[in-house]
Amino acid sequence: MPNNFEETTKNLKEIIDNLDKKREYEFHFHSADGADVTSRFGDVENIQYHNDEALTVTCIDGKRKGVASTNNLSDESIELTIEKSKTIASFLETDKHQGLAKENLINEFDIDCGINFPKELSTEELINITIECEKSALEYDKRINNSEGSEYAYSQSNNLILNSHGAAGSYSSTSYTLSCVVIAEEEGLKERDYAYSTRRSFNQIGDPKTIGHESAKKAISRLGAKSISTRKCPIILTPELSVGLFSSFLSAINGNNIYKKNSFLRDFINKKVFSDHISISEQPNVKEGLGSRPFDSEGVITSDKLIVEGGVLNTYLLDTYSASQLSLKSTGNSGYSNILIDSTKPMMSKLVESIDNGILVTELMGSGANMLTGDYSRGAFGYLIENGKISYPVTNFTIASNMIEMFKNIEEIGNDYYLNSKIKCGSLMINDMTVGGN
Amino acid sequence: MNIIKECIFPDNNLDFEKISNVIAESSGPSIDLSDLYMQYTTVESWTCEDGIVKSGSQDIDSGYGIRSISNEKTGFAYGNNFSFSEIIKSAQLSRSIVASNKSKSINLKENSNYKKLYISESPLTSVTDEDKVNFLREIDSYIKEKDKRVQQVIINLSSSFDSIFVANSYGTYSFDDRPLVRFNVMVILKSGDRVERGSAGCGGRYSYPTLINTRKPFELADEAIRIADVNLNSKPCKAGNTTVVLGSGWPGVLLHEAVGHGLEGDFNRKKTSNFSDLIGQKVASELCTVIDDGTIEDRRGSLSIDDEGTPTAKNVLIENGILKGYMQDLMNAKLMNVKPTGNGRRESYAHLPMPRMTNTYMLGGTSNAEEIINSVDDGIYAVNFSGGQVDITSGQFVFTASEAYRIESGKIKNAIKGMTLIGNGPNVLKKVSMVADDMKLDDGVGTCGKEGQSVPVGVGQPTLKIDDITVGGTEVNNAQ
Repeated sequence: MPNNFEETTKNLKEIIDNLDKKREYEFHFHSADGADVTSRFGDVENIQYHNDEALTVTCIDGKRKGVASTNNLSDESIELTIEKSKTIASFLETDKHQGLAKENLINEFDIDCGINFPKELSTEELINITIECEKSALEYDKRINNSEGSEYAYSQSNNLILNSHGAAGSYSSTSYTLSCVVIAEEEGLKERDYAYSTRRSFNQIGDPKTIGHESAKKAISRLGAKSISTRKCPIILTPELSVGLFSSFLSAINGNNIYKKNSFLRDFINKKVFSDHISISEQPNVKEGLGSRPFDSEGVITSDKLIVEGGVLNTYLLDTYSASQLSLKSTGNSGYSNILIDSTKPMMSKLVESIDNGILVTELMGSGANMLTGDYSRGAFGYLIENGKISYPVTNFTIASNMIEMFKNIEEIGNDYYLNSKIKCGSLMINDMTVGGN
Repeated sequence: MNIIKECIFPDNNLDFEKISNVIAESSGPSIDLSDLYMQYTTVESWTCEDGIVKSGSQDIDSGYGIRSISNEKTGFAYGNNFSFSEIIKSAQLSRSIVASNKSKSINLKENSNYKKLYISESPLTSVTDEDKVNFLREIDSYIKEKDKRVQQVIINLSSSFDSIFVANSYGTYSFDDRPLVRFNVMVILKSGDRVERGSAGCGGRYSYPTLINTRKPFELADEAIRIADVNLNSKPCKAGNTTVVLGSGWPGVLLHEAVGHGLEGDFNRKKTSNFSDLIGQKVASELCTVIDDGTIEDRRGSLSIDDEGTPTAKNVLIENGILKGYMQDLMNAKLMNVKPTGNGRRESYAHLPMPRMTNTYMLGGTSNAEEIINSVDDGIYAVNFSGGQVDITSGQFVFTASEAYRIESGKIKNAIKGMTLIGNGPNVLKKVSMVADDMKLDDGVGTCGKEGQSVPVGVGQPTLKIDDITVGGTEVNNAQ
């Protein structure tokens, strides 16, 4: 734990312990530092050094909640922030559900949850990695004739939670990301694509050349895309896009959307959402997990849970407030940690081979997922599948359905897990999507 | 009141001599431009939900960012401790992008040669907190009395006040104070088995009384109910190619996505945009004249000066279908050997400036809206959109309608749901076949994202007709 974080922790603990006992208080402190390096055409283009910290104070005064934050950690500024949270609370109206987390609270500082791997990195070293990564993309094929560069970003961050019911916890984490974006051109038409790797430790990032090659390969494979006619057919979503669909699912079962009736899954508790073979679990304590954390953002201890079992929705994701609204208990889900999407069917390595006529979707655009009705309609790019084989790239089409139907229609899940997200999932094969083209 | 000038400078013993030392430290013989940006922002937000004004927050964020540019290279460091020694350290880090000695000295002069487009007072303190709470409650009761099908009402009132200071190695400095108010209302209506949402909002660079003491919030509440009601009766949308009429105002988000981003200077300098090297060429139908204008008073997308201290301007991007120019910041203007256009913007001191839009709109034409609708035999009339996205390299864009109708034999018919438009920017603009005389700017609700940075923007356009664009929906045959 860095020294100044340790000092801030001590200072904030002393301050919260000495605040009035009439009101409830919560302090959330976050600090991070790191750097971003970008190289383009073999030379460094950008170096950015980061250094952020912020304190958020929540005050609950007679079931009224005020929040104030500052990035100035002087004693005077902390005091002003606390006062502001009290003033805001005093103007609000009583809401019987307001209250800070009281049960299952964390009580340990500097918790090691296997996600903190600080490493001294020289700017020189990072520049060299990005140059090597971009070079392998530029040299991959002569149709790669432009680049947005390769970027290396790392950060080390520290999280602290304190509340007047005794929550007191902190942990540190690191994150390393290497990416490459290149442009392929053929017959005057340009296509851009990217590849990246994000991990908790520097050593797990992988070979920069592999990331460069992948970005080039993806950009080139997009060239010569044709339009497609309107049809209904099965689609395969790449693991990256599957993650997006499951994050819509997780948002739909978030307690705050449920009690506001602002979710298409508002009446689905203990009901079938997916087909039998699918289970979804949360695993907060995975070593090197991108979502790992010892407690949620309210200081509630997190543990493994089965969210979906045999396709049935077991639980909503609840924080203290939404749990009170729904007369339930917090599930430690002020936010979520690592999510694993699993299937009892054998996970297939080549989903494409199982489709006679369909589309492999590799990019989705636009904001066409309606969280209230489940209606889903988005712009897409992909590859036509004919007789179990990729035929050619297709563009300028949309895919549409309703998420309730899409979830039920997930026929197969691939074993090609996506590792750049805290949601761990493979490719999905979804039946019966409407493809809108010309 | 500029908080940087009135508080941050005296509290940290900073003066213009020290600021010029910082600029000298961050610049040098091999450095083309360096600048220091200082910012103090206060943001507040009040929300009424379930009939209770249940949450309020205030955030203060302050800090500085220093950047050194050498040809295409940029070094950047930021921090939130305004002490001279810390700022000097950041200046040295920033300059380390290239091996260069520091400058001897920089003489700084204030640039006050620009028009102030908005007031210099903080909206946060323009009315009491009690008045803000009462206002929200009044709108909430109004909605609940007006429509008994209401399931949920969420009303938000928020504002920010941003004091900035920017000084650069060209030898100029400027101060600006930027108020911003935003109001939004969302309702969920239920009828039988169906639930639908409607939302409406407005905002701009003014103070609360300009909004609170008018009928506007009530009109927006009516509008949110109207949209939810329309959607309760909406039918699935047929997928395929069709003629689309876009309504005036907010549908200008099409322009923002389809052409705006592709005309930003950075993408064109790097030639990654599909508008690269097309100045002087025809990129749209001759009915299209597209402008980016940061100088409209009180507008959400307006700025007196951009975040590099350049006064904003009214820039013609496309004139009668011909591409006239790109939007530029200082760095890209210099590299492309053109003038800066006042489009250098950044989300905050912790982000690098880049060319961004301000208020982007298309000028009106000579048709009228009714005539346009009447000319469509079979198509769609899209009036409201919930958002969009573009790939500036291929030009492919997408956006999703939140209110749209079928047009049959020149008449507006049933509402449709889940409609997405997809197309290629230049191709679609070439298919604009009619433009009405009803140009309108949006109500001041737009936020644009680029490379992880969000900035407030405005959009606008007249009613216009696009022949043949791909529409996404769930229906394949003529089921509707």
